[in-house]
Amino acid sequence: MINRLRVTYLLTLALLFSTHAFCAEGPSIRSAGARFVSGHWQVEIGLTDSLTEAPANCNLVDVTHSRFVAVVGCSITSLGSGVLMRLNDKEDLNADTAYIAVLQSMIFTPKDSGVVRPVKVLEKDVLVAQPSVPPAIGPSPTPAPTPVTHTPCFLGRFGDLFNVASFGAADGRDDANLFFSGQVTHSRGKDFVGTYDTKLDFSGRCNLNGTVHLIGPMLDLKGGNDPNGSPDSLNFGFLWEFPILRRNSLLSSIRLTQNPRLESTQDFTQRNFIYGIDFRGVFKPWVSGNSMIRSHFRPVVGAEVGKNLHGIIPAVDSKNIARVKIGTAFFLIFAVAIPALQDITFETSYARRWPLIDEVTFAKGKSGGFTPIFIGTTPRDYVKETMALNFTKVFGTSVAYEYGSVPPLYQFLDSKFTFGLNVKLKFDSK
Amino acid sequence: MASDPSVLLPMPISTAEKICDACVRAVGTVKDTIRAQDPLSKFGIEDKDAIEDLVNTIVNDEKIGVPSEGYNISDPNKLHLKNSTTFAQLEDTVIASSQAGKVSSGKSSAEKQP
Repeated sequence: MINRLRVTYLLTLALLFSTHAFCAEGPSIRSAGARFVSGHWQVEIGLTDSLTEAPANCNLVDVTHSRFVAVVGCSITSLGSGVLMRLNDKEDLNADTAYIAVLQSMIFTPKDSGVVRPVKVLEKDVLVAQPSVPPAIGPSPTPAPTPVTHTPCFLGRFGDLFNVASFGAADGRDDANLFFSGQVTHSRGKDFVGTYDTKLDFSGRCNLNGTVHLIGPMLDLKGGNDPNGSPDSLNFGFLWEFPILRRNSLLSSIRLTQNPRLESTQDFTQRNFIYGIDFRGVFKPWVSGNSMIRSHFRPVVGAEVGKNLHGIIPAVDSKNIARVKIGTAFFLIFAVAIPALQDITFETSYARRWPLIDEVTFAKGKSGGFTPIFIGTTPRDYVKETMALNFTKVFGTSVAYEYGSVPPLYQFLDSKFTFGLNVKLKFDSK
Repeated sequence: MASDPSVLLPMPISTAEKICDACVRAVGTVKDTIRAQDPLSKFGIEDKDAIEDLVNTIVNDEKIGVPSEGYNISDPNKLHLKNSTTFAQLEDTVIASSQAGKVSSGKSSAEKQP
């Protein structure tokens, strides 16, 4: 009777404090499962936050029979993200029985640069598998059945497009699977002027010969009716990217990106087939002592070869294309992490393209028609500086400065400033 | 079905912690002890390139990745990582995505040359 009262008291206490912990978004137990190892049962408890030391009390409650299971000892993993509860050799857990793990009197490590956080009680249902089935120690106590699919790895993310729950915040345009950036301006007596920038990336991961490759289709669409905006362009292509050299003291990897694509104006009047190949150095990040300031450096060397499929003027028609490219990208991130401002990001990217074959583009004449512009083999530079203020992980604003020209039209952007609203989403399904 | 039931066991938390710790240190820059609540961005793993390098290291590195502990991840697409993913969530993802048994022919990144 006393034992039953103790169990009831402990469970009530656990429920009370775990509800409080949930409301306050404090530390919690993320998973709890039991496995039979070396002649005894062991309960493994995963935590959302790291402990400084083992809990003062660890209990396993047999709810079905209202009794405590005999616990020999309790320890934490080396980083404190898990608690290991060893049971008495004579105890035998049964999958048909309901168990609850209860941890008491814990001290968690600080969240950011704060102080340690004491927590009185945490509890979680413990999964014990049938004897013929492996114990299901996982992040979810009731994992949803995974449908058996035979989708090729390079189409592995198509299904995510139709699953709204699979979206999470991305870090920027390059990081996003779905990206939209737009702006609209209006002056008295004039029409609305707007531009947009859309990206869809469905590349999936395929593990080939001991290396994870990113393979899949992607689409870039830029345009609008702003006469000073970027030229309308539509790139539809196939991405194939993988690391060719990994990890030394400076480099995290060198990534080889191959990107055959259709590069065109949005109305398809000018179409080029381009095969692009880039070698991108992924340098190890620089991180300040408190991790509030971080920077990344990504130099790029590459080439683009291809052929014009359809030119709007005869001078462009069927011309071969060959360009060499060097460039770099540099990111500087200030993690402010206050409620109204997540971070401030500065991104600088630069690219210089050397056409190896004379290139020709065109301009729309005032009286209609198109006139050719001979670019020749003069190197073309393009630089973009972006400052982004991310108010939340999904929404933010950005200010960008652009100078230079990019193929296929090489329309010169002379110190173009852009103010925009960004929505960044990334597939995040479990 | 393997004859030894132990090979069917999911990855222990301590093993996942060890693998994730080594892989995050290999790809990112860790100034202090890693804590379960730390997001990957704290270690500079916050853009697509760094996250893909982390995935590749976890999946294929025979010295520090899941193959080093006798596990494999057959579908790397299951590793849904982003810059705000915490270390604890990374552990969960690795546990949920891995199966016992070595099928990968991956090499240690230190050995692999272009």
